[in-house]
This record gives sequence, C-alpha cells and structure tokens, in this order.
Amino acid sequence: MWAVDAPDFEEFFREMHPRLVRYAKRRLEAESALDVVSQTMQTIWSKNLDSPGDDIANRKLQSLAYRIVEGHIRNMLRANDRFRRLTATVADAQRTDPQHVDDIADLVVRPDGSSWLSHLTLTDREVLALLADGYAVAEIAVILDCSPAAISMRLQRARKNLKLILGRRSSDD
Amino acid sequence: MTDEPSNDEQLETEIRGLLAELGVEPRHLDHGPGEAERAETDLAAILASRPDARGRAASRTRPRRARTIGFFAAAAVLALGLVVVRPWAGSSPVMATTPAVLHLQDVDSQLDGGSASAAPAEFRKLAAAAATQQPAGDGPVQAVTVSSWLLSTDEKTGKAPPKSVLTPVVTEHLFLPDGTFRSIERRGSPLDTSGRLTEPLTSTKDKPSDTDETFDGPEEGPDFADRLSRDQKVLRAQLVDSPEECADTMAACLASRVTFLHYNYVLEPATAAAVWRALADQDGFTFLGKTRDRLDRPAVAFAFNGAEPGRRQILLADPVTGALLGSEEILVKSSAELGLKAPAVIEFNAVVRSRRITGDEVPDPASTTVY
Repeated sequence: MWAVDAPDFEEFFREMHPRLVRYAKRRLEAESALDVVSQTMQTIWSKNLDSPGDDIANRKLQSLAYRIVEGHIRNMLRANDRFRRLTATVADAQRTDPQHVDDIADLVVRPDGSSWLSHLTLTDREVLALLADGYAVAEIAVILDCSPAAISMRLQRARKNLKLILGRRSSDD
Repeated sequence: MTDEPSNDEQLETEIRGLLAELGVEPRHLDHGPGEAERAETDLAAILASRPDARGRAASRTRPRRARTIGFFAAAAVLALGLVVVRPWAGSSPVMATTPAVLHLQDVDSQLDGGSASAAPAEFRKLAAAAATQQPAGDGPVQAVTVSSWLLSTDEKTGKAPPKSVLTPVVTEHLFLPDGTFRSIERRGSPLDTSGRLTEPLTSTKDKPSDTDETFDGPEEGPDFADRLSRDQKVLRAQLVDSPEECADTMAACLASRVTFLHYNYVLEPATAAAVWRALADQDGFTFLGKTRDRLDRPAVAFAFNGAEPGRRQILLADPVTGALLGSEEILVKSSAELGLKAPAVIEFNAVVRSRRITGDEVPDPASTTVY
C-alpha cells in the first residue's frame, strides 16, 4: 500500500510527472500545467490505492492519471471561461485568455466548422490531436485507456480520411 | 500488395506527414526550465501530507471492470474534480450495514453449492427466451435506468472515525444519437440499520436529480451494441479485446463486459441472445437456481468468481424474457480491511428499465450540465 510504502508512489510520481506535464501543456501554459499535475498527483495520493502489482495494473494506473489530469485541465479551462465571461463587461469580450493556448486539441473539443478537422469524426480527431503532438501509439493507448491495436485501427481509419481530404483539396485546386 | 503501413511507427510517420501537408506541425512540449524543481517540491509536499487524510479505495483490481466503468468514473472526475462518493471509499471500519444476501434456491449464503454443469443449458434457455422478445422501443435514444447503492463516507469528521452510510441510487443513462451520454442520478434515503431499503428503489423518479451531466460517450459510439456480431464466438472476441488481461479471470471479464453492455445500451433481442450464448460457452459459471431480485422480480441466478479473491459475483436474469435483471458482488470471506463479515453484499445493480425512447421523452436538456 502506498500508505506505508511511499517509495512506490515516489517511483510512480517520477515516471508520470513529466508525462502528465507534457500532456497538460497541450492545453495550458507551463505554470498552469504544473498546477494541474500537482492536483492530479495529490488526488491519486489521496485515493490511497494499492501499489500496482504488475504491468497491467501499472498501465491502468497511468491511464487513471491521464483521466484525472484531463478532468483538472477541463475544470481549469471552465474556470477561465467563467472568469472571462464575468469580466467581459469591463474588458474586451473578444480578448483571448492568456492561459489558453489554441491548438489542435482545442479544435477537438470545439471544432471550427470551417476547419478540415470538421470532416473527421470526433474519435479520429482525438487520436490525430495526440499524434500531432508527438505521441506514439502505445502512449495514446494509455491516455485513452484502450489497447494499442484499437489505436492502430483508428489511425488507419484516420489516415484514409486524411488522404481523402487531401485528395479533395488537390482536386478543388 | 497493399499500401497499408506495416507497423505503427511507419503509420505514425505517414500520418504526421499528412498532417504537415494540412499545416499541422509538431509543437515543443518537452521539459521546460524549473519543472524538475517544481516536481520535487510537489512530491515532498504530497508525501508529507498526513496519511490519515487519505481515503481508501478498496476495490481497484477487476481490471476490465475498472476499464468499463472508467468512462463513468472519468466523467465524475470531470464534473466534480474530486470524487466524493464512491463505492467502498473511506477508511475502515465501515460503519454501515450491507443489504441482506438474496435467498437463493440451491445454495447457502456463502454461495456454496449450485451446479456448474447446469449453467450452459440455463444460459441457452435465456438465449432462446431473449431471441423471441420484441425490440424494446424504436426511438433514437437508448435509455437504461439502473438502481444500485453507494457507500458514502464523510471523511471530514475530525478525529472521529469516518461515518459511512449506504445510499440507494437510481441512475438514468441516456445515450443520444449524437454520441453524447447523459447521466441523471437521484439518491434515495440511506439504508436503515438492518440494511434494508427505507423506500422503494424506484420511487426516486419524481425527485429532482442530484446530478445531471452530459458528456462525450464512449469511443465505441451509441451504435456499438448494434454493431456487435450475433455469432457468439465473434461476439466474445469483440467483447474481450484484450484476452491477456483476463487470463485467469475470463468468466469475470466476460461477465463485466456483458453487464457494461446491458447497463449502457439497449440490446436488440438477437444481440441479447448472442450474449447469453457467449456466456454459455464460457467455463466458470455456476447456476444457483431461482430467486427474487432487489426489485422483487422472479429471477434465475448465476455465480462466478470475482477478479479479487474472497468475492463472488452474481448475474440475475428474467427466466421468461431472458432479460438481464442485474448483478451483485458478495464478499464470501470476511475482510478486516473493509470491516465486514462474510457473507456481505458489497455491490448491487438492478436494471429498472432498458428501452429506446424518442427525443421528446428525454428530460429537458436545459437541466443538464454539458462537459
């Protein structure tokens, strides 16, 4: 148990901290990313979970960490949105949140209708967003808590769709 | 010859190339200055936090179950940031009384007895019954209502032991055709000291919801159940997509997929029949005979070992319609960690309704929080 075996948690922390920070930085500025990862680690510690006994359990725990950090990221983005709405009457309502970095991941959540991404399914967009940010199949599988084979399958489908989009583009040109 | 990339690395490279053509370039997300120092500070602060401030999540094995319900757990995290009510949270000893074990026809309260050899034939009877049913509605929204209970632990009681109560919960799952998933939860009054319900499980319908949330549904989409094969062998492979995770607990794994399906999707009669046939082909189930479920409906019961030692799980089905009625988990070996003496029912779910409904029957969208 981590209650009596802090070194296990420490090992987990050291392995996952940089990975979670990298994940959070896709949507937040560095300082905010560090904050949400700190909250995530605190959440996991407070759950008082058993130490993972094998690779499968370890992978599950890593997936859980990604889910929790995603929750904290969304909470922070929502809080920022609320704050922006509250201050919209005294400031420029169109001003962008300085903590909010627009990127492909945002398009996944709020796709721009005119974007080529809108031609893709939500699942394709989700996997492509991660791939675009440098994640490999194995890590995407951990993040989305499914098998690498499932991710490969989704990527194959996304690849075909991307080729279709590019084909249409070139024929339009 | 095919132009499919032969491995993941090639696939990744090719797709990144396609994305580059569309103007998507990789960003720099790697380690920045000061992050290592911040990590050390955070780690020290976390490790220094008082151990008794930490909760206790007792059931974290059952890998596949964790995966299937992980979707809902993730949604809860999204919604609340913190999970404040969850099955078997809090520190032991648990100060709640668990519901009485169902009276089962052929076995004692420890679930000893029953017939393993009868299970396949009984599953096939359910398959035959399920196959003859009419589809449950034809609307575009899948509505599944499940009764269960949660152990709610108040961890903010100072030096006093944490106070736990068992609370019945009725959750309405609405899978909308756009792929979003709405979960409406209503909690009833805590169980009385004998572990009995103080009000009927289904009576919370007119109560205002305690939570009403809408979020992106599982990646498989709302038509996942409809796409499943009606051939039980193919179906089994579709359900157990990571057999290596289930090597020693295949019956539990398969059953957890089956309950996941029934608790989230409205199954076509042919699919429901195929599900029972898949269970019939799987070793590890024991037929327990007749009983009545938590909603007092006639049922037949099957037992199998849970993924954790000392626990047995039960599937309950309607012998006339072949419908899955619910599932239970029974502690058959006393647990000091949980503060419970065996036998103890530590979880139950009962399907109240499973039906395809029209959009007009969906509660007002204005009352849900969308994530």
